[in-house]
Amino acid sequence: MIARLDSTVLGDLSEALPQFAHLPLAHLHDLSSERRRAYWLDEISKSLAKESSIAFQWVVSGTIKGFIIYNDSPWDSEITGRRIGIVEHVAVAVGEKDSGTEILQELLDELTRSLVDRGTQCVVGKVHSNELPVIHALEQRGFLLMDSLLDFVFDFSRTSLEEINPPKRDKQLQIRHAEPADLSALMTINEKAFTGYFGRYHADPRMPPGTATKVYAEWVRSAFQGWADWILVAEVDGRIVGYGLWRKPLEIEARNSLSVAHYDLAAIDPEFLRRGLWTALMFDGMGIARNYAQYLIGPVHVCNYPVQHTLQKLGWRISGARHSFHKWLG
Amino acid sequence: MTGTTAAELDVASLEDLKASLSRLTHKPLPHLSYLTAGQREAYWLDELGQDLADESSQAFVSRRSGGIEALAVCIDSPWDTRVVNRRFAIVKHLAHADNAPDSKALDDLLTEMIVRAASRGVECLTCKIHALDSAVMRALERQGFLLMDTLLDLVFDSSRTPLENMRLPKRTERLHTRAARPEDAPEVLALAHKAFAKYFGRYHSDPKMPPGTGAKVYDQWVCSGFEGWVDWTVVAEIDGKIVGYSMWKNASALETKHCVDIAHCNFGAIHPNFSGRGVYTALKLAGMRIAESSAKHFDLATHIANYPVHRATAKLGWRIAGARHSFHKWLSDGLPE
Repeated sequence: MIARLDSTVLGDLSEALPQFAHLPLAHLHDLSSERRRAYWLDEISKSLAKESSIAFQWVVSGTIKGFIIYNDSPWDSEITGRRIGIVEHVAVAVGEKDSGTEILQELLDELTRSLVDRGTQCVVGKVHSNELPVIHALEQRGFLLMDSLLDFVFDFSRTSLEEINPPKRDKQLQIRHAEPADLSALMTINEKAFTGYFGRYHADPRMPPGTATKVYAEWVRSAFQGWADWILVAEVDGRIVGYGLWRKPLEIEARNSLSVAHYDLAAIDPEFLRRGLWTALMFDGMGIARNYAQYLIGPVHVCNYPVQHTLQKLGWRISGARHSFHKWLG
Repeated sequence: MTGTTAAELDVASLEDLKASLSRLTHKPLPHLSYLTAGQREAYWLDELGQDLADESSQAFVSRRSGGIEALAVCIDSPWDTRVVNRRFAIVKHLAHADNAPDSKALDDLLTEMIVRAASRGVECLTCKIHALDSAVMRALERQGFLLMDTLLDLVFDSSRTPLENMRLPKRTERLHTRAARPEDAPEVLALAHKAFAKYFGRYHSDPKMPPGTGAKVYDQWVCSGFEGWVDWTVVAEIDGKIVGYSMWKNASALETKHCVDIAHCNFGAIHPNFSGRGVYTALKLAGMRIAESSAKHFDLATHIANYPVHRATAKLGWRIAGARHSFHKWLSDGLPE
């Protein structure tokens, strides 16, 4: 049966987690199950503590066999002008002959009813590529595939920066930390670099026109307002022609002793492509990141081949894959 | 403004189709960036001609204002049908005009195709599409197709990375590679059975496949390989025991006709007890050295979550050049309303 899920049942949930098919932090291959579960429980607890959370559990004989947790996404909502939220956690216990699809469908139906009442217009779900029961349940409930990301990971304990031979740098190239006055130059690069891009905001025809470029612009604006921990800009002959955004371990990661830093976004002015600027920006960003973390994580669109190739040349490895789904309500 | 109309397409309408191909989003062989648009379209038209000549083919186009706005072609898959013991057909071509709205035309064609396939007794429809073709993805999902797996298409360009310059990690002296012999078939089959027991491809991940289908499919691939479906097979041995194999094909007749410079690495596996010991790299390189005599470019498709293969191929200089999603629809799930 379905029941509301809240923080009071975190103890029960903690006991139930080992039976779920979902593998948290799947892209960090060397973590123990205990550490993964501790992190997951911490994440779940944070999700449930948010004011907008809607969460349901599927309980059989007193044991949680599945759960779903949703939260509003104010950032997306503000940019798109549509009320958007995200399924932050969805998991089901998998039996030998039961993939759990029916439980997942019931949970999704219950959530959808609540979201319609709330006035949510679009729900986003991100799922690891090997979680087929979740993927199928989403599709069967009207979610549509928007894009796929590869999770690249660099491990400093396996490869040191000194072992990497980056290509020779353009003599006119300077890389430095961004200053507030650089924002408008980065916005201009964004306009050019992301207009013809193909992420999930571009792929969804129900997003209001111009949403995709707006999202990337707001991403950079937020970075300057403190969301990113360091922003590097690449200058050629004094003109800003590229940037990279990075973050140190997040609070929840630090609390769980996860030594990870994040490469979040980079762009090069299309006029300056194929001059090694992206590689140089990445290499310098990695040089800073190694002061904070053992692992670097960077998600890349499955069709962004040039970035994938550059990361692989720099020693990053594909360590995970995720699909994004959207469902528009009404 | 004229409304869309769905109509059957036959070989006689190919000339008509030819005029529309450049406007359609799907282009074959998208991972081979060295091909010209003209080469792709000529290849595609020939491929369509071949498929339409197949007795089992069902093809529909949607027209708007006289031009073709969308295209769907489906043919039976006797191989899948025989191995899985269910009647399979493949939606082999599914394309729409790049300026088409999202996309009633595709929905109409798929609906028609599903109804016709069901009436012919087809039990499962499969379709592979490029990961950037989001309008087609959505149309498939709206019609009840479910995502089963995602493949990355990798390409190696030997003119960019000469094989003789390749620096490889030291391999154990006990490991060597050689061309497979017919008598290797049972040992390779046993190895494949072990290697794919817990695999996660689309035959494994579809809960509606009969039990054991995944293993059966890979067994059958090995058998077909030894019966001539591939052009060469390399095996790796350690102390006289086969610990891996790799099967390769030359360019198809159609590819050769259209000057597509390519050799295909189709299929292979490493014995689970010998993974992480350089066997994959040694096998791949041995296969590439043979391939080099017939083509400059080699391709292979690998599962998006097959991380060890991503790593090994990246080290050898292969590059990701494409991504495709596989969808299945079981017609017993119900027909479109």
